[in-house]
Amino acid sequence: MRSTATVYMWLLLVTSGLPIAPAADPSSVGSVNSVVVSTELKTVKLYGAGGISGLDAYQSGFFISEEGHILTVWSTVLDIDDIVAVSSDGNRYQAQVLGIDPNLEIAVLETDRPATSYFDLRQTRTAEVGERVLALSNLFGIATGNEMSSVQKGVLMAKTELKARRGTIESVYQGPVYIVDAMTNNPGAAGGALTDFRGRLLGMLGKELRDTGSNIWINYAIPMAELQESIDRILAGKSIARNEERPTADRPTSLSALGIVLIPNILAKTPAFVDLVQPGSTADRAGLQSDDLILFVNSTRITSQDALRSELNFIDRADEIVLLIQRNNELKEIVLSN
Amino acid sequence: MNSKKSYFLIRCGGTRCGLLGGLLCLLFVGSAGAQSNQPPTEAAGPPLDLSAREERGFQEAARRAAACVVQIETFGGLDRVDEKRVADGPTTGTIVGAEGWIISSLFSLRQQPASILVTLPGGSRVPARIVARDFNRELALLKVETDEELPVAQPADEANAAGWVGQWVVALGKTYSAESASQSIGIVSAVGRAYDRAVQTDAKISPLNYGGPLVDLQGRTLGILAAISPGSFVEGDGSQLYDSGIGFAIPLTDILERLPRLQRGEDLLSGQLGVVAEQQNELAGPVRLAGAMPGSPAARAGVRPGDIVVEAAGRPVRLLADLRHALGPRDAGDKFEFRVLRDGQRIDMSGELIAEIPTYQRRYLGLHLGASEQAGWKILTVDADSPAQQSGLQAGQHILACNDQPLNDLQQLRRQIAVAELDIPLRLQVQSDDTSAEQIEVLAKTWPNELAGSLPPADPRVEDGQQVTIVDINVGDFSNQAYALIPPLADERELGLLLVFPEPGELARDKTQQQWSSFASKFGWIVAVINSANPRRWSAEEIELAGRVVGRMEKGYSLDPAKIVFAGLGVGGRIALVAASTRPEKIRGVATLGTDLRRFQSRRPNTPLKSVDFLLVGPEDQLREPAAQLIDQGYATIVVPDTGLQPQKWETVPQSKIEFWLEGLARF
Repeated sequence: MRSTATVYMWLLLVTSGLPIAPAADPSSVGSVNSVVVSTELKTVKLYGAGGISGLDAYQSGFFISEEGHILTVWSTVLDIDDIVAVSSDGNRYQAQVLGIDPNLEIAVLETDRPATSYFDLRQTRTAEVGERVLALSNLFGIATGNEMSSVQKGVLMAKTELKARRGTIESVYQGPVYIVDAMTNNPGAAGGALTDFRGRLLGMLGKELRDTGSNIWINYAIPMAELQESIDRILAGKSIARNEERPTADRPTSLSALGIVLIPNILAKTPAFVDLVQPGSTADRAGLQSDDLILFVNSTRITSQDALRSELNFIDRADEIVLLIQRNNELKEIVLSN
Repeated sequence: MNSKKSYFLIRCGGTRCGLLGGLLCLLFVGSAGAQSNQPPTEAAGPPLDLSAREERGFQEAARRAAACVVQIETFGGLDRVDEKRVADGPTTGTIVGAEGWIISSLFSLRQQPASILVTLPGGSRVPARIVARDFNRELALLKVETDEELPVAQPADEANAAGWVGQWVVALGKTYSAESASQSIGIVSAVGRAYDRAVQTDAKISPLNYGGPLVDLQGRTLGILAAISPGSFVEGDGSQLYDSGIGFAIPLTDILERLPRLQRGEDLLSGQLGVVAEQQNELAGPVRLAGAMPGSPAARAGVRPGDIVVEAAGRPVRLLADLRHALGPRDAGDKFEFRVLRDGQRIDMSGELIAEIPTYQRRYLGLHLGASEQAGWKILTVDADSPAQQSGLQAGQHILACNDQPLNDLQQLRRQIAVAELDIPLRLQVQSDDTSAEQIEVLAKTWPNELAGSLPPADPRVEDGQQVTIVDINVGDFSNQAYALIPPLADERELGLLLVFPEPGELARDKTQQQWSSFASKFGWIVAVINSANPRRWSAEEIELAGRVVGRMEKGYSLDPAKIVFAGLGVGGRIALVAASTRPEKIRGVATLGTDLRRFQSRRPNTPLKSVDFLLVGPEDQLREPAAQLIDQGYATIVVPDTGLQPQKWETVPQSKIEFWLEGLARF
């Protein structure tokens, strides 16, 4: 610690001894403004189907090629043959869906004219938590005609995976996302661009979504690295099939097959406390005991008995299962194998 | 700095930079950051230079503090709290003691999980238990057993808290990942918020980082992020602010100060003093007291009606808000010192704050009093078996003083009785016609929950058959029809006001007149009726009308504040209840006539001087539970079982009982 401090002091002397950045004319220094102005020209306002029963008829998108391809989210707005894209230089493009990825819920549109400005997909990058970011989108549809998209600043709050959960609004996309600490994901913002403070593309703003882990609306973008392969396939004219849902096991195991009896399931989230272990059963041989609380099955967190039962449906009777259990104040790993 | 271990040893958030200060410090952090694993930016060229350096400053601060932030996972527990679904995703905690003490947000643990696991900085998962809860600050203290050497959050200097405002801060959470902390950036918006309990920030604070630290650019912890709500003390309320640009953190030094109590397993609750201010408006001042809640620390400290609070916890008190600020950060069990002004004398008082003031019930002596040509206030009637009768008070006597204070007006006596202890008698100075004044001690009881007492004599100036006048009440932009029966001699006496919400549909003037004319004339009551705008239903907006009508009557007549009552027939009873609950400082009674109250919920406990009496008339099975609930909360509640009442028809209500209750409200 002492040595670090010394190094720092030395650095300080050097730094303070040097002429620090002169108080220059702002125009020569470059600014967020210049980044925004050039980046903003690559975005479009999209208009399509909708407008009834609470569905929006507009969203956002951005150019990804010189030929005028537009990347956006796949939504009901695109359920129409002649989609209109308007860039902020006032150009109006006729667009139609070239292809979609149903798993990422993205669409690539082709347009009738080349783009004047676009994001070069070979120059995207991956951002780190804590970086400042810009979000460009037509949130709430407030921009129209040759008006600019709206620009918001924020900080990359976290990188995480979208988690699915039964019984609540569930997103089709379940992969990595950037979480932003600004209010970026509002109606109309989906399909907008997330860039760093130098205007380099980081990701695409996703649809409005409630996070199931915390029960609040989240602001997020899908990283470009997750989208690149699908975009390439669509541009190459290949179709993308929907992923199979996680298959249940052919011969799923169950609590009774393992010899586990839980306490009566009387609450919505009754904890997975073991009431009895059948003598001679798999669970018995593995050393599971009554009053053990099951916390994890393999790497899946078990928040209730219902969650445990449903998780077991995905595990074959022949497979080994690793349980993390709590016994009094101790955590123990228990391996169930036939 | 290479190995994790050496990093942990320097604790979370060093002060190396603290000495350097200012811009130099910022540049300096930037240089240091450039050595480590930074995002692949080009050399910081002239464009966007400041922004990039700031960004590195944020990341460096976060990196320093992140090690003392832990992820918390819960298992099992309630599905819903207060009818809202509880999310069961991971949450965040902050290490505050190297022996395994972790502070988290109560919001994240409100589902009372069966098990809690904490992922320590070294990556291992260990079980944790909740040791204590701080309900005043929405925090919980957890304990884990581990041999791992734990980094501890370093507090920023709270003595300098005023200087925090405007500073950059980073809010950290580990909800999304046990390894890397989420960061949200903002500035300190204010300090001393939520009655001096919290720091306010515009960084994004939500369930994603509750329990995590709010750190300055040196990585020192200003406070722990919590779902505190700015005005009320309702659990979980503050979480609704997550998209508002308002977030709160509880200063870490405040938490550390209370850590020993929490470590002993003591739950902390907000401390109650129990003074009753004459005016309830926060911005009212000076803070003149109507008295102290019976059984409260203020009562034990010797607070008397008329005392003016001028200082609390060493700070001047000018407005009621000042007193609330002084009390906000104090917990039950804390000693609280305050100073009052009484007859020009400053008196220092102190007491130990308590968690809950005993439920207040209206006090009862059993007297009707009236004005007199002689000095003092004339006793008109004495209730049978009442405390007054037991003490030997008799009709015709005059009360001159109470507890040695001369009575200039009756409200003064009301205030003294309202806060009377049940085991300390009031000393009344009483004058009988033929003797000299004597002291009589009366021990107050709680207000009876049954019809008791006697009617006072009717106004002798009103002659038999003298009629009421019917006037229209202008209710402005509402389309409702409203009218009032005005008794004779309206300008010469204080009047009661009975405001009636009928069943939807029209309640005709002649019917009301027939029913109420005699009582209104004899005892001096205005009976006002608001008919619903829609003949089939009442709407929520129409509740506002109650305030307008009361306002108009107050302007036009002199009203007796002890006799302002809302009543409702059938469905109108619900409107009367809601309307009364919006202005409890004015309303002294609520009567529901034939209203089904089986789903009625009352949440506000009774308070002195704002005490409300209830009269519930109708089938007993519809009223038993709500009545029990009201009584439990300290309200005097009388149930009159009646299965024959038809809400559309005045003539079916038990008129004499209602009149008896109405006149009884003004008793002492």
